[in-house]
Amino acid sequence: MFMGRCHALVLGFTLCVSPFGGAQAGEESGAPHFLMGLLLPPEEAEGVSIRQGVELGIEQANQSAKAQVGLIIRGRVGQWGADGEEAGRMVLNDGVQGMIAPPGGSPAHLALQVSGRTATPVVALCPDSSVIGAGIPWMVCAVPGTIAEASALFALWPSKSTAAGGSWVALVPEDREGRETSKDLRKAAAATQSKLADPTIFDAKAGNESETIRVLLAQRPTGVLLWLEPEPAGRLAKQLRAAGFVGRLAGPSRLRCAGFLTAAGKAADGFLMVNPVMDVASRQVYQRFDAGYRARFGVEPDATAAYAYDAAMLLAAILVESGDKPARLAFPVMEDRPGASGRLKFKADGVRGVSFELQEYRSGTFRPYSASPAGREEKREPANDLDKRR
Amino acid sequence: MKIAGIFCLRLASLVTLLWLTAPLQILATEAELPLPVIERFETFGKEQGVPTNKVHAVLKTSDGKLWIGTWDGLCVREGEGKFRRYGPEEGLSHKLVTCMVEDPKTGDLWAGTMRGLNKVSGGKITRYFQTDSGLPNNVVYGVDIVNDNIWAATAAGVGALDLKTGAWKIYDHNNSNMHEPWCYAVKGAKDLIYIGVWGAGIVEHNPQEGTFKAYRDPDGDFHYDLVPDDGPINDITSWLAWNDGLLWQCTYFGMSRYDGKYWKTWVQDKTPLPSNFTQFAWPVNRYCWIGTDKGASVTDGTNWVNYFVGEAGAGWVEIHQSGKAMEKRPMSTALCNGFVLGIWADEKEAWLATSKGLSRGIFASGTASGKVAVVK
Repeated sequence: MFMGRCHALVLGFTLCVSPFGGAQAGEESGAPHFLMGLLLPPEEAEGVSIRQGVELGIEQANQSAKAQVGLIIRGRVGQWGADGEEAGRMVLNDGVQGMIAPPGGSPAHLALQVSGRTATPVVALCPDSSVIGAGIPWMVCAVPGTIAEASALFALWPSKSTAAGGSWVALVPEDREGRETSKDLRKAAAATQSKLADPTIFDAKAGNESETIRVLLAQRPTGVLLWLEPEPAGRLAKQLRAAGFVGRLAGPSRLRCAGFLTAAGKAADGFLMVNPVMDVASRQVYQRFDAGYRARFGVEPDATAAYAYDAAMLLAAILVESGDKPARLAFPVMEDRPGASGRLKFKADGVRGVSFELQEYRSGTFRPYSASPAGREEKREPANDLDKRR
Repeated sequence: MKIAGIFCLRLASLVTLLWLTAPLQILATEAELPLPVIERFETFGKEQGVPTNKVHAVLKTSDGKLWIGTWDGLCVREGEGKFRRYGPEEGLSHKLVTCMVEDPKTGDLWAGTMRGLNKVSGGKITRYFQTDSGLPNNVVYGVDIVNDNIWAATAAGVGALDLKTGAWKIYDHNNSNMHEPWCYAVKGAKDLIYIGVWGAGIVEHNPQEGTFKAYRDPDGDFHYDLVPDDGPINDITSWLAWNDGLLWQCTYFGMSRYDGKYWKTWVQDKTPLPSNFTQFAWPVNRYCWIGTDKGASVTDGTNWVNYFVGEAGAGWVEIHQSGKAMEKRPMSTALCNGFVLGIWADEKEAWLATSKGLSRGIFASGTASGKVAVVK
């Protein structure tokens, strides 16, 4: 697991930036310096992708920006709930002027609480509606919300409108994350008038996967939502197929990653998800991100890395453009810009506005969904540059 | 022509008369308000020994000393007007002081910080951490004292230290009806404890009976107060204050007040509240001072006096009096900054902690500060 117990990583890019020495480097180059912080709890399943995406984002932002931005990464050291202390340490001791909050709802809220008291801008990677609902005026969410993704999934999957209808069941994590995910999935189902049974909690530590699947399939669903972390989602996809489930499997865009696809194996075929529509400018950003990521880290990037990259690029731009003024005054972010994960466009409350397309994993890549088998064959062109390398 | 000339002369005289008597009219306006009106501000910053521009908390203790909690230490104003700093070097648990309360029995000062709780007593600082005491979490956002118990609102529950026995009690989502564990404020109300929970509204705790009662936003909508006055305006409670039977709730979506029976809510676009981002409340009698990200207010719920500062540093006041048009006028001196993090006030003066210095508000003479407003 990334980072294990602890520590602040101080990373310098282009210029050697340290939390306290950044200003010196800036003075030498004649440009002011800024620091952003990344809160990354040790249990974060996609920690590597997040860290690498953010690192690359800052590195590339610094290549074109007038000022250099440094990065501080901190993860929880002590007991549960100490993420807030680490967020406070980044702001108060390290001197970061903006933070990237992790996908987990609890650490994201702890970062927001520090932000509320210190007016430090936050770009969040958490899709929970409760995070945007915190109402911090100087925050945006770089990832599409769970409600938005699930609503698009429900609305775009054609089976929903067939006579047979689409009745979904969902698997969500245990504890708070599962509670909030369930709440958002229910809202999405209500908004699209879709049938969704009460989500089933999947406790990855309990080891009762067979029983979970038995209970799930007893509801005779036509589709199963795997709103879980990549590895358990892939594992359950495989077991669902092994148990004879022939309906649709679907999940959030964060499952566009090696962790899920490797764990799912053949069971990933036919998997549905929605992905932000890529405009021409965003495709160009993606190509730069993809090439840079492969060159720097030697692996292909996943969806989470792209979101993290966009978060870092956006926050770097906000800090640099704010200059001497408090960065919080740059909010709400109303100007949209291209991003590796699609157009970065935000509503006044910080919610990311996204147009989605439905995609299906088939023949080793995610492609735009086509209802007919013939259409599937015709649509050879991957929907996203991310898929071209698969 | 002659008639027109006389008319113009009389009009000019009237304008002159109105201009000359304007100050008297303003005083008359203010005298009718059941609220204090600040006439001018005094500013305190680095020249007076305040170590940083960012002041998070301010408290005047019963011995007349003024304490401020800053981004860089705890400070006390000394006789000659200079501030003396206590930082981690002097034993403070962390440099950023978020909140303070005075023990009325002993005069001890309790200060919450971003890492630990502190007791300042007789020039000595005693620190409490989550690893060496019963403090639930090191990040302390709120502190209060009720019946010889220090209550600390932390990022992972609320803790109560019994000053007689030294025993701690911790309440969070596991042993109370808190929907979330993140406690952002705590306030005693006679024998009750009100806990402001980030994401879970307000929890009312009766320590004698061991009961908990949750007050949640009834409409559950994050962005809009769909039905005014139906309960807490939002579940993200950023601050709580209580005095004289009135509970005041700050949120990032507006403000609420609870009199034990009825709720009253305010939002910026439909009421004189300067901003929905409210982060501090300090009641005096039955009116309340409010700190927002766009200025400070004082209100009895019906009348409002709002203080703003522009980008160039010029200040102005807006007076919203029931049944009258809003009056806006410039001030000769301005609040240090519109981002108001803490307030202490009585019937004679108001101190405002801002993100760019400390302001003292000097009240206009003749303004009534102690009248009781009718709660509707």
